[in-house]
Amino acid sequence: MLPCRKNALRGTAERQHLLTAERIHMNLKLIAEQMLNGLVLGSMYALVASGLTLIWGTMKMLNFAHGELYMIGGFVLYYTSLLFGVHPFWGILLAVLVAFILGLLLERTILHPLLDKPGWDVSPIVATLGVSIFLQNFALKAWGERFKNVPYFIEGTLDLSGFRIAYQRILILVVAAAVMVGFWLYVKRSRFGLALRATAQDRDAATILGINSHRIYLLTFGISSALAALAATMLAPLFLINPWMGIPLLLKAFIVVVLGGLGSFGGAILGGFLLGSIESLAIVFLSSEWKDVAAFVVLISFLVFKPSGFFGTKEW
Amino acid sequence: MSFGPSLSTKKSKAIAAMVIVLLIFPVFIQDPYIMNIVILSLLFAVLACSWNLICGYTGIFTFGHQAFFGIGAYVSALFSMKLGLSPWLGLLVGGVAAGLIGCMIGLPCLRLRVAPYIAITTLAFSEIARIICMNLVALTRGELGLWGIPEFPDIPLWGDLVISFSGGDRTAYYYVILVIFFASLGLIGWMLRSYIGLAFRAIRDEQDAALSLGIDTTRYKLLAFITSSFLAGVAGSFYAHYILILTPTSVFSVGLMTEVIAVTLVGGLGTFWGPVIGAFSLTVLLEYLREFGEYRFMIYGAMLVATIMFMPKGVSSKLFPEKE
Amino acid sequence: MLIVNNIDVFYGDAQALWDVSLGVEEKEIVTLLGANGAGKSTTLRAISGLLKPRKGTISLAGVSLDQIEPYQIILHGLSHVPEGRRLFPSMTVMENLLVGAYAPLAWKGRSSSLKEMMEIFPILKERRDQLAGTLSGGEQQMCAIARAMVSQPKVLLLDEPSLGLAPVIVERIFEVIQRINQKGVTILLVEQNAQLALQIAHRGYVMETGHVVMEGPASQLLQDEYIKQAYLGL
Repeated sequence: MLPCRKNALRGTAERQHLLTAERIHMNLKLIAEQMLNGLVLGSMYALVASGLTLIWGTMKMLNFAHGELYMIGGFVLYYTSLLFGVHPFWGILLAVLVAFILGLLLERTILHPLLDKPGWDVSPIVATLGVSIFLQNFALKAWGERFKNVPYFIEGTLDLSGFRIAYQRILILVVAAAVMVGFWLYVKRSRFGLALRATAQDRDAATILGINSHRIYLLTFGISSALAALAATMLAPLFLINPWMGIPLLLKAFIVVVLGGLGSFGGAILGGFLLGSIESLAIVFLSSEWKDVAAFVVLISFLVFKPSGFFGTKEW
Repeated sequence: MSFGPSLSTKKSKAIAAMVIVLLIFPVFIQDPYIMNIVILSLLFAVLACSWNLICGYTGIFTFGHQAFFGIGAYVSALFSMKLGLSPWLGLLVGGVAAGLIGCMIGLPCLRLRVAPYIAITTLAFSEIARIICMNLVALTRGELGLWGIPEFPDIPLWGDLVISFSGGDRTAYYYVILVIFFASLGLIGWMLRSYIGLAFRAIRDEQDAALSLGIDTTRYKLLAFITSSFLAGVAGSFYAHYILILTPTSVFSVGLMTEVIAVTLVGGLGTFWGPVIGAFSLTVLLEYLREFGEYRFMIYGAMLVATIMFMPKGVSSKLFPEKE
Repeated sequence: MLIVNNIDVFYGDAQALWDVSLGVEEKEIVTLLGANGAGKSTTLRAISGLLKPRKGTISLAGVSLDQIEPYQIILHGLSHVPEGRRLFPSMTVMENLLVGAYAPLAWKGRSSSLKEMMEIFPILKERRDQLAGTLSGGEQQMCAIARAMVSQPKVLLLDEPSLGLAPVIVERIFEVIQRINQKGVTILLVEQNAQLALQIAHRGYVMETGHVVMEGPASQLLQDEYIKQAYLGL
């Protein structure tokens, strides 16, 4: 709030100058705070998108049920907290585990049989769409349509010379950074990561060198689902949990993946932060109703000038 | 000159039978509930066939096709409500509006080669359309719903006889959508059998080879965009004057797109009758599943999965195993 | 040691191999010759498990290769350098070699195997951190062979190693192949360059349109009139 200047000795011009300076200062603060929020949100978009890009990179398919795996993560957290009253840490762990297993199941029962049959360019789309419809309505039937609330894991706000940011949001950023950096390193250094990258780049060559590509696909799906669920649990206290919460996330994840370049893990991270920033700036300068339009316009312009995203359609 | 395969006798008999059934069926059945299902099936068939034209035949996987449906619907509705335009003309105007937007959307897509990028660009456009529609409340009333859309005006015949669109009897609507259905199939069929269809398939299968053979891929891609969006727009306009109330969610949602995809892929992408078969099957299926109450959509989702697992190339290729 | 017995192989509904039989004894170099499309690569792919024969058997030292999963074949000591090299383009030379050591036993001894490869192929040592997609043709071929050798196989399948390479480089590659053979590795070499192949091989087979049409000691094949005309351009 602007404090009132009642000092009548000051001239109008000077008073106006002071008011503008304050307004600029306030706007900058607002922008900075929003940007920070945008980065926090963006880190989660990146997390969700990285799972999607992981599946595209290895299996060359789009997983339309990705949003629902995210959603299930949210519900698992909610019910473990509610029913067992344990610290959210256990809820998060369980959510990630459940999503991982669900991902494994989906790959093995539905995608694996479609894999080497004709029509692979479209059959997984219908299959995952079917799974998505099933899971949304399963959640609706099992858990109801009322939006559910999960309390913050850490209460309180950090106040740095006027900049305020909730500890919960800092936690989100930290977790996102840790997971993504950790996963990235793991993929670069480990034997499994080597096998993953080899399968993604040339499945036949990987096979004759002893890599079981089917097992790689299985694990890829599981990991991707786990990443999505983790993002859901982190965002749960900020947004409400409901059966349809995966839909907008899927759309945003698609945008991020395209911005960053299909198959590029680093691109997903950059793209996520970019999207988060665009959204937050749009909220400040336009309104929250139009923020998505801003994001989409940026996306389209981006693709017009650089049709292959930041890092191109990359094999990683 | 005809470039498509000629119809086998079995197939032409089946088609003839279908046409006859469609033409005379209202004589036997007047139950408005069943009428409604058939009308919606035909509507979906037109929508799916139009998407199949650009995706199945030209190989451009768009994910925002519902936008053209919605644009056709709102344009026709608003023109008739605010400017007093006859809904008959509205069908055309809605289609043209959608076609123009389709051309506009197609332009940036020309450069994109990888399917997911095109999908996401078109998705972005359709979401922009949806949000604009939702936010311009003064014009469209947003999520509150645009109602009071005029029905098709009655057509006077001879003497006291009139084809009436008001009242509970849906027969007149049925024949309108049937005409649209046949006209759309006719247009698509004509295009596919002509050189245009050859160009479409060339672009789908080997775009670089097509270019080197002198096919102006830009022109044909834009033609695919314009035609498919025009047809979707006409379908949308019909929908507006049939259902008489519109909300952004009902006509612009991604859910509608996934329905179109499901219908087309289950029926058979890139086949002529696939989308029609898919439209009828899934619309009827969804209605039948009402019996199962809360489990309705769960079963629907499960059946989609099962269908694609047993028929990865769609129902049509099992029924008519010829190359298209 | 390696016995291919009467295999029929199909690509979908199209038959590519008819009743193909061949054998490779321990420590031999056997070459498989033929024009483009004769079925040579198809035969190798059937052996390394990328294709499953519809009829017939393939066995290595008594183990039925056509009965086990393709990714397990390397565990029995068989390595395949595929047509076109098929290096992992976004991985460095070092990483490509590492994938060669993926199999559990090979992984344990990977540091010494990799060092050995660097010594046999000094050019790879120079380029170890370079992306495989940016190497020259000859370097790529060296890398592909090294990658297949890291697991210390008993049998090595080579698919057209000379393809697209300058004659000087091809000579060097064939020198390497001979060196590998001298170390005790059995080699089945598919080649279009019949001259060179028959010069280093002990025995050879000739394929045409999916059938084996000729076989015999390399020296004999070199002298054969038909071979001279058809494959040696004489």
